Amino acid sequence: MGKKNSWAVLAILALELLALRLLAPYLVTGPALVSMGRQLAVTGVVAVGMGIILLGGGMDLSLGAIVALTGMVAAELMAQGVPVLPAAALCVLLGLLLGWINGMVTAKVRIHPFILTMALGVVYRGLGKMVHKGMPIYNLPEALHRFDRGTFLEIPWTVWIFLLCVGLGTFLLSKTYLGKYIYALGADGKAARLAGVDTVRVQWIVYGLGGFFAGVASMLLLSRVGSAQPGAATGVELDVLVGAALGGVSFKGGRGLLLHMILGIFILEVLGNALLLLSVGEYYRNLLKGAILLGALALDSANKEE
Amino acid sequence: MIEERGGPVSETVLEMKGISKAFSGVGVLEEIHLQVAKGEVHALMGENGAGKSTLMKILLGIHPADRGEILLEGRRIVNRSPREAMDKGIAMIHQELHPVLDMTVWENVFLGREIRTRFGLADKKAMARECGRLFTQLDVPVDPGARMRDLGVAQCQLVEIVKAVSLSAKVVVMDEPTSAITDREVEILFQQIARLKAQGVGVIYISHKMEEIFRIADRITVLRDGRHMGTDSAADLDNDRLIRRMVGREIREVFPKETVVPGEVVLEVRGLCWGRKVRDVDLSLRKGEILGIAGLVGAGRSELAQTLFGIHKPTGGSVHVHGKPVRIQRPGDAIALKMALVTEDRKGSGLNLKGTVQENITLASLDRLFPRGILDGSREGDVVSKSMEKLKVKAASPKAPVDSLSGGNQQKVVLAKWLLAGPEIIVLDEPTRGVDVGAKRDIYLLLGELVKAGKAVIVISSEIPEIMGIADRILVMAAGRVTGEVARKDFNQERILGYAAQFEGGGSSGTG
Repeated sequence: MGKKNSWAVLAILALELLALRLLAPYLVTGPALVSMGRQLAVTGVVAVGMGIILLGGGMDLSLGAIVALTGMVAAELMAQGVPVLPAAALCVLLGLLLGWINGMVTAKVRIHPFILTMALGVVYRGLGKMVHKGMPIYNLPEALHRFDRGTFLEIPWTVWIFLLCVGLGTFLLSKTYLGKYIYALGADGKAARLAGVDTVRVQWIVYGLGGFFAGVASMLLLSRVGSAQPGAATGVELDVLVGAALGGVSFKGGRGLLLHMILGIFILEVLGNALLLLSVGEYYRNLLKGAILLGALALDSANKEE
Repeated sequence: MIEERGGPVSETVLEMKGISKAFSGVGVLEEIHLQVAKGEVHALMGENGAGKSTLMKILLGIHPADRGEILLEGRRIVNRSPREAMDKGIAMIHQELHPVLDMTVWENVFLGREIRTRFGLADKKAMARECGRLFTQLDVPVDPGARMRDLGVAQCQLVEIVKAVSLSAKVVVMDEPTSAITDREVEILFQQIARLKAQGVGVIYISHKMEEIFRIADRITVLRDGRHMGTDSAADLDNDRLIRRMVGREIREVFPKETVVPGEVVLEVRGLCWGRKVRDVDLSLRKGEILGIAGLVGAGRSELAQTLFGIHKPTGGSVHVHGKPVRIQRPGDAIALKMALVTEDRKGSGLNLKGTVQENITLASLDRLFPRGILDGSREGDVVSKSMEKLKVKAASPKAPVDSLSGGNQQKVVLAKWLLAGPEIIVLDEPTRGVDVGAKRDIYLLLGELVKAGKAVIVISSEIPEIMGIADRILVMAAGRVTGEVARKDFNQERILGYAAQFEGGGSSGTG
């Protein structure tokens, strides 16, 4: 099943790139693709976290709010004179902590995580606004900007970090037994618990990782935009979920591959670029995104018998 | 192969002719004939998996038949739903009843076909009155105004029967109606069955209990592995012949039994309680021993196993493993003590149905196989192939999705998972439910190997012949308590059933 899906996802992406190349050859060159990777880094890193959560049978709609809150806190710390690296590290840890809180709440309160994390997201957005009285923070240290411009082997640091996160997530999910536990929890929590998996702990870890990656994404966003906005990353969850749907990661947990989800996000981005070229308006693009998500969900639900 | 020796039978009410059915290419029923006369109690017998329930599901329109036809009073009918079957006069009294608990008795009797007033509103008075009239007429000692929640299993059954009568059912199917009721309640049920007979209703009666069958059945149809093994007048059959026909061989072969001299006590349970489901249970288990736990549905056997395994937190009592006191609060604790539990609902909690065979087999042993947390694919593959070979798991490959396997093979995957974890104490809850005869035998053989290797095994089973065939000792439970213990030399079906029906005060759900 995995292989078949891999080919399908890659084939769609290849077809799209081919079509885009016919439309606008200059958009499908090495540098152009690298630049696309850079644009996608923030969404992509959030997707790594969301992917782990989805495979573990959960859902976290507060990830965008975590990006915004950790970004605001980091910017405020930097404005107070804390050096960039410790401030960033602290905020990634803050993301981990917020994720843990989500894990604890969803493990203890027997309501769908969709609703719970939506509520938690509203709380985090509120906190993010309180950091600077609802105003953005500008004038971030020069080091951030240098990081954003910096490259290694002609590929921006941002893209390297994105790839590193994808690699980490993939390794964790497919090569460690924690990964197997995550799949088992997502597929059938009761069966996993009976097999001796400490499902509550695994759930904490899963949501914690979601928050951790949101924190990392937040730092990438900070360096790229050069300012911290309380309203940052609004709706990033939607893009990530559409990517998951396109990549065949089941919303019911336990089925799919993280890599497919990342490719799904690329597919969406390429499609977006193509539509932009064809001057299809933003409203229509929104409509299309929603339609793709709905279609993929219907497929997911029809596919339950494999 | 089909013998008809029932003699001349009166008017036929129901006839199922040449019914065949296959699920995803696997034949479940082949050319089954079933003919029920008016006023007849027709027993339908066969082992689990013989096809009885599939045949009844076809009758009720839950599954369509691939071939064959159903004639009701000589007219061909096609049912597409239980509702349609009911409208035509075919009612079923299920093994597990599902009444709407918060409704009154009369509301349940008239559910879905309420008597209406002139203005189209539900006429409560008329319904309660009609229900009361039916109860008096049928001599049913139940208050029509009572809530279903307050009724015992036996009373719910009676209400179902009244419902069938009020629908003027022509055929009533009863699926193991006595599996959860006391002897006294069985008598009342039998009186009602006699009444149905007198009214010319055809009764299809499914049960595993021999003495019951010989008491009330007029004719007996036996199915084995989806084939019709014959229909006979009950008077022409005896216990042994019936069993032979059901299992197709001598019963001794069915339960291969290893004789192992039990070793030291590995598990000692004293006064274990879990709420009201498990009360003050004592048990001890030795190395190399198979302890059977018998009892009726709802006797607390599964709950006992689940409490031992930490799925439920015990509310009292103590557990010693190898003489040391232990506290088991979650399944992980039990696994660390080298215990394993094969749960009764394989699909619900025993397996990850989205996973592959390999993922399921290694799930409980990953931390032991790979203590550093990093997986080694080829090593995992080796381990899995070995255990699949050992348990004769039939699957396309270790990477095959587990939901593509048959019930018996799925159960073997569950067993493989637990054996890989290297347990010393293995609890199996209904290990052969929904498993075909061949796989059953494999499972029994495996149990023999386990005790030979010095493991201690507890088997919970509702099939008394099975438990008598494989256990060294049987504990019988009723209403959460242990009501009796029988050693192998004293095994006797009546005695076990006697203990199983021993409720406090003579009956937990009194009918009077």
